[in-house]
Amino acid sequence: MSGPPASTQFHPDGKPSPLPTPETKQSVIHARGLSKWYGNIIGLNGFNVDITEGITGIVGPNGSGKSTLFKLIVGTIKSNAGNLLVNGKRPWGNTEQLKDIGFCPDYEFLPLDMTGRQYLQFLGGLHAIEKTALSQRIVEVSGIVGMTNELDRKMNGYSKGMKQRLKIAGALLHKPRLLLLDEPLSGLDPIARRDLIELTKSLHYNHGHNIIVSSHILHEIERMTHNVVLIYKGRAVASGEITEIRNLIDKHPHNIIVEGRGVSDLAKKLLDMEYAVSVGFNESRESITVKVTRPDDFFNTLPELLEITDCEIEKMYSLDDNLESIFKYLVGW
Amino acid sequence: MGIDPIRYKPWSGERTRTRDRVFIIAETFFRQKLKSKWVLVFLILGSILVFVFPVISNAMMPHETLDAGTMTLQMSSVLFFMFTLLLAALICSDSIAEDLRSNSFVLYFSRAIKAESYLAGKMGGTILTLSLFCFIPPVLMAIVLMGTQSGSSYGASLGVLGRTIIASIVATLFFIPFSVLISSLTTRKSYAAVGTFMALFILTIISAIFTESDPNWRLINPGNVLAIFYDWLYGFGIPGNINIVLFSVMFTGFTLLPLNILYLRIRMKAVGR
Repeated sequence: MSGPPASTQFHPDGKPSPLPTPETKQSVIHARGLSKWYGNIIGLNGFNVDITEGITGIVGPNGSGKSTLFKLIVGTIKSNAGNLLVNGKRPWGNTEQLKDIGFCPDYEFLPLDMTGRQYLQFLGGLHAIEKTALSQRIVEVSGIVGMTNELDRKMNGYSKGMKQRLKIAGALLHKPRLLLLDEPLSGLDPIARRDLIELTKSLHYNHGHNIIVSSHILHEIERMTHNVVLIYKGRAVASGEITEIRNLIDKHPHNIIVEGRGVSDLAKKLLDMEYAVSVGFNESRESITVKVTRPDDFFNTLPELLEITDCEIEKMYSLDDNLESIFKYLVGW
Repeated sequence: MGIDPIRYKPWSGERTRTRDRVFIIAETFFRQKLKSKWVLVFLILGSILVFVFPVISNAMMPHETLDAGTMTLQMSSVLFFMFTLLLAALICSDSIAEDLRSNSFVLYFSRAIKAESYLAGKMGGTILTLSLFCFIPPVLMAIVLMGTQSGSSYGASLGVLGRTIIASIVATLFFIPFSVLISSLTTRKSYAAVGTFMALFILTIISAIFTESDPNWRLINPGNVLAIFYDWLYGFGIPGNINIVLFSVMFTGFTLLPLNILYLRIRMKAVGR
């Protein structure tokens, strides 16, 4: 197996080599050996990452440390070890730094008895934005997030998607350079998800905000950006181009379940294939688990094998499509 | 990653106007409280029972000047103390508890706001609201009694008015640190309200039980601490059987101590550990 592509940093030990950063891009986040623990629970563990301008996805399963990373960036918690620079400055105890950061957390905190406009006016006041400028900015951000017509409604009548949009509007209000979106798509229906993905892209491409967006669903992040950091158990296990990370994943053995009539014949044929590591029967004789080193080759040759063996497949799925498995591959478990 | 054209223009306004930020927190809290049915009920009921009747009766009674004794009695009255306590518990109950419940701390602390500003804003909101009962009515009462005095010694009356302003400020501020501290200990505003009222009310009962054995037990009761302070402020002195050091300790214990604990708690809870 060849090593990871040059632009992708695979660091199972949590120690990355320096990312090749284009000269035009400035460092937004620079973390080295960043650790945060809560009593016996580790939030981040020797976390190393370099994030440059643009949209960057932070992908990791629940409890991997995504929200801890955001809290450290915002400076609402202090790291126990390591260094963190946000836009070149340390965030802890540096409230002035927050003028350049817009944070949209994953949980509900909107005061529902207020209208959207009142909420934004309140936030504008917290940023000490002058009244006339604030009114103009509210019109501007509500237009950006597509909430212009809903601003004068009380927030307790908002849908989840509308609340999410208003939270983003609140984070955008003071024109921050860096926008942190913590799981913005969680709990949304497919249409709201699609709209919010488009909004996130627009916030960068049309409005110039640098965005760090977290999710535990890889393909959602893939629709927003090609630049990701995979985080698992408090460590950055890989960072770089998403396609290259996918290729990296594909180079590891995959477990694929094949179910249907005549799979025993298919199993015999598969054993002759170079890419097949092992083939085993499951509880039923009509179900096999195939472990393959090159899933692409497996899927390419499968139609031919089915024709030869007269096998009829009813169901086929990979055990390793979930994020947990991807991370297990990357950390070598 | 194509980022052309970038239309990003950072906000160029003034970002360091801390007072404005504190004001917006206080103003929002104040406006919310004025929409609360129960706060309005207690404010109106309290003002009528505690001030309107005494103002009418005192104004109709012949008086040459604004009398310090009249104002001391008014400020030390059990009814004024009880309504102040009730209103403080009611107004302060959700000042922090609601933010804890709804995770709204992030709303403040992910912005360029310090714990001090947040606390000042919240305290400012509670002070503004409580002043509607504890500051404005006593001062108005003093002005009305001054306006209806038959004598011409306005200098003495102005002195009493000045002392009434100070007494009213102290009455407004006295219960707020303790009440807001209790609010910061829970996510349920009902617990905070009942907790504040009961904690202080129990102290008055304990005080009543033990005062016979030692008069200094009076100082356990916050109402008595305030009454002794008003006596001193209006020129009647501190009762001889009361230990001045203990009085100072208790006065600080009801005000500055909870304020400091509250500040540390907010820093720990919201700004980070």
